[in-house]
Amino acid sequence: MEKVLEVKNLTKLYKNQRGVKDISFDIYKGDIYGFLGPNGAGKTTVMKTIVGLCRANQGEINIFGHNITDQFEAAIARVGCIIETADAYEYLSAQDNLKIAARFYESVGMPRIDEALDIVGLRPYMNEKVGTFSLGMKQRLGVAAAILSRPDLLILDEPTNGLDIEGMADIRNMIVNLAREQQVTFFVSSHLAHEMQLMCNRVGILNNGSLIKEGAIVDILQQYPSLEQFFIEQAKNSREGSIDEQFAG
Amino acid sequence: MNSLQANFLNETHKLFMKSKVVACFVVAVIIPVIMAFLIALLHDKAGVLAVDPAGFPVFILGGFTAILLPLFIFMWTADSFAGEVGDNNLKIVLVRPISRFKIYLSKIMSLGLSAIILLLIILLSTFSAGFFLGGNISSHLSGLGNGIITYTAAVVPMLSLVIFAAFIAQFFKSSSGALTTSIFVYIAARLLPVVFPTSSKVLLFSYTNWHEMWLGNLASPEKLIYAFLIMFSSCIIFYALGFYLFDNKEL
Repeated sequence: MEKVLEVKNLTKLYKNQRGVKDISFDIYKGDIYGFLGPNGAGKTTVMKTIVGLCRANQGEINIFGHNITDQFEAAIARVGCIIETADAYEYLSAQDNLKIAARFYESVGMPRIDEALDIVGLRPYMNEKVGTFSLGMKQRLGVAAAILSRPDLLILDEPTNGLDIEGMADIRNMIVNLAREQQVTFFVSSHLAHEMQLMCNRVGILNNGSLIKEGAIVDILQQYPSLEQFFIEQAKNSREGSIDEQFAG
Repeated sequence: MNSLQANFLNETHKLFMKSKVVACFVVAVIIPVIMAFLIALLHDKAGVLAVDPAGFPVFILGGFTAILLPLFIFMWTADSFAGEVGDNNLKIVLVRPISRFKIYLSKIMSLGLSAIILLLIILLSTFSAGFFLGGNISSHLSGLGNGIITYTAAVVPMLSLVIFAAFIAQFFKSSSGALTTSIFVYIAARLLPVVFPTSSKVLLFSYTNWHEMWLGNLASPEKLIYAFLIMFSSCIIFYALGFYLFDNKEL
């Protein structure tokens, strides 16, 4: 199976020494890979490093075989993302925001812009300035910008943030349908185990900057009643392991 | 369309959609008209012609290049770099298939183009407003000829200010901080020659009126080349430092 994203020994520490250490994982074509962890676990740090918003202290990241440091444009060409918040130019309309993004992609024209706005339900508001949008509408616009170029890899950091129940269901269904029908690969983060369980086929548990466990959802649910229980168990084991290390040291 | 072209168009699109940029262009049209009206009024009332029609475009340019143009350039550049960091908008372009080198270059190019368009608008406005001052058509055309030379020469120092302002903006996460600092450094650098007269020869900011060297009795080629090299070398230094900071920026 084609390896879409390869992360090897990624370490990124900020000045306060918080961050992520020695993270390694692979994502394959068609996966909906979830990063599950509490706030501050390092999910966003990993995603930011993957898309070039910050530089790793150590490690290697390859997207579709291209190194993110040496071949950034080639690596990111087939990637769409929302990292931390869905940002937009508030003094421009929704449509203008997508026109700005579309210029980077030869294959994206006005029909695709209109289609993306339709998918996220923003077509009626396309000529309104983004500054007048609610949080949920801005999040939808962020999704439209991410899917605009028909990327083969979508990196979504808490994509249902700010959405109501229907909006969350819409995003989940969009993710599942795109993965199934168009073989789009997803790398999604969340602190909500239930959401991950509904969407993902594989999950990585992140806690205190370390990737403590990875597994297929199907396998996990054979051993645990829910992904939440699995996460709690892994987090507990990780804490006990680090306490044991302290005592051994 | 390659990524550099794409982002150059994007940056220019964004710039001209901002109301404060449009306001600057409106000011650039209005001020020459008001000045021409006041000079004509003075001539009518007191019989004093402060500026003749042929010299009007260059007269107005002097005021713009000393004060208003640097202010506008600092404002636009602060918005384009530090303002986008503060608004969390810089991320939007950083995750697209374009290198940071091309992003930085395209922003500078777009700001430079805007400064050139502003100079063109001021030239056209001064030429049109100059008819308030009377005079025959040949004096106006002579003024236009001088204006084209001097306004073209003014592009060089204004582009230098764009590159300087872009460097300053890398230190800030808000456009107000970047703008204030750019203005402060500019004023300090313009005043420094009062205390250290020789400093005016090596400071970029001493050459915002470089266009005057191209008038009438031309300055010697050596002086023109010297001034150009000071501006050019300042551009290289500020561009390299500014890009280094931009390339290492983490969001």
